[in-house]
Amino acid sequence: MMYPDFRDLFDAAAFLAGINIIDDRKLSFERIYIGSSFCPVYFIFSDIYPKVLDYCSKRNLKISLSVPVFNEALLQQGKEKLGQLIEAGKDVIDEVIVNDIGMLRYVSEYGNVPVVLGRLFFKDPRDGRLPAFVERTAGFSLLTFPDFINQEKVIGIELDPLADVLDLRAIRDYRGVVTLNGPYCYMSVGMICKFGSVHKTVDQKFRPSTGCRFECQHIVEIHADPHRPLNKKLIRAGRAVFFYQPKVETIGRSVDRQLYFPLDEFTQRLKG
Amino acid sequence: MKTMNILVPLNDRSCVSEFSNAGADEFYIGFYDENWSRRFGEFADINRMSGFGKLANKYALSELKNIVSDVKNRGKKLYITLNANAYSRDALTYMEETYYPVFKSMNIDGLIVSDTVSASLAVKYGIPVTVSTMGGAYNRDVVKEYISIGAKRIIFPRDLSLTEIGSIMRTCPEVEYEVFHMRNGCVLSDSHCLGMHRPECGATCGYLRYKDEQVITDLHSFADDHDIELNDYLYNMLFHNEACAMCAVYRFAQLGISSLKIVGRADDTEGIIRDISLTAENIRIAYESQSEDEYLRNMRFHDNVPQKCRLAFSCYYPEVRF
Repeated sequence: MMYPDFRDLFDAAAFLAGINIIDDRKLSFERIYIGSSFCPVYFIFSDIYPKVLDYCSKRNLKISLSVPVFNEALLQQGKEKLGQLIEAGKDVIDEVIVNDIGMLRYVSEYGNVPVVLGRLFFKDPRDGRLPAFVERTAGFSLLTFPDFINQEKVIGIELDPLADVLDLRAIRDYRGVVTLNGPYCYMSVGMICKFGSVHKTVDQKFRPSTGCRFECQHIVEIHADPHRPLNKKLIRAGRAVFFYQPKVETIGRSVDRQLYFPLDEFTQRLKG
Repeated sequence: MKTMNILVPLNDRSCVSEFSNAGADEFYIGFYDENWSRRFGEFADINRMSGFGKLANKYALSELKNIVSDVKNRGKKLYITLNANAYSRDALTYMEETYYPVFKSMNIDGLIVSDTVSASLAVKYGIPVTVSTMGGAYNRDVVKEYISIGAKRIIFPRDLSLTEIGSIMRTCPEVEYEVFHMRNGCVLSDSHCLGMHRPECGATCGYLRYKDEQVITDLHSFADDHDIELNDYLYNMLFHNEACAMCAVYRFAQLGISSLKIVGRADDTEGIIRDISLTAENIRIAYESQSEDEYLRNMRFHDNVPQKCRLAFSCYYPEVRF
């Protein structure tokens, strides 16, 4: 799919893949995220990579490559794509973000590629529908297992803003890079994509990890409970579900990197 | 030939007999622990259904011993669920001190766990490990990791195709495999759906179906509007409201699946008994059939082929017929 300019490219890619899109006319940014934490179909079949690699190479920007959980049918293709991207982006891709234990081992043994533990590793419950569950201090269980987060080649972790106050005391002395997603918190995802079935015939709808027309670049759903106005709205974007969680404090340690997900900007663009 | 077992939820000791007589071979059960809740907070789950309190986990761990005996005396298997999304080190230490020795003493057939740390701990205590669907065994590489820890059984995610299941099983034949078979479906990923399952909010997937929805799109042709609206209607109203894999039983048998899981720890007993009986009958038909076509012709449906079967949006594996 072609986009008229880089701004649109980043908007669309950010929506799908978590690219760190910040308008460089207004704000500074240090790196761009490509790939996807959530969708193997997007990771393998998106055609945006050459443009982003070129853009970053010319501006001396580094790239974080997010790798989703691949279902069995797409695992081999996913690995091949990963290898192609690492090779094509060897001057700019300086870390690979993995989201499951299989890919953690694969990338760790792949070569000299620094690895980040992605957001899907940190599976503590979060729920924008329960104000009491958001308006609190919450930690991340996996951070209490230093042997896991300090594995060889693991250089960082990627967290979600699952509560108003994030307890990072367990990694007070952690030397890796702590990245925090925002302003949306990931809450759920599935291998079956609702949007990816929009243009399928009735008897082929809602099958796991089949191809699509990237309908996710054209549709967002917002869900709300009118009887509970204090609850945060849930937003279905691509395969994943998020809730808005912009203001987060941390205790015990600050974060090293803020990863911005421009869902608001993307939604505005869809509205025209 | 080793036949497939039927695994069912057990939330009432009195059901052991009824479920066994209907054809159940294996049981899974969770438990509550008020000390756990006091120590780790009301939102800290012991298993995936802890949010529903005693409705889904009726017994304390100390009460399970007699239930295990009931099950074992009938020659059946019993699995205990310890499959919350995540456990901290403190929680795991508590579990190791409080639960694992009890599990060991009860000689259970498996502990259903959700992560590598819990699995390693179970192995340490000599307790057979079943990897929950919460463990996200989506591909052979993930399965190999669990096997390397010592897992004995893998529960496949609900959102894998039969082709994918077969591929993983051929690559990693050294463990048993279990599939979801009947009752409550899930349109998201068990292993990566981190919303709460609690009475005050329900599951995330249910909320997405039934609460007010605003669709924002830049697709505005009539054809696109139609496609989006129809897709939305089918997804919200029909897709996996209940889920079923009955048409796939023949292929399960061919693949060598060990166990078919009927879920519903908080469901009505009569409904579960009907599902057990129907599944047992169809397993028999599958093993007697010479081909999948023969099975599909002869298999029995719920209540003379209800609408959910004809529409096929309740199928875990629609590829069997479409």
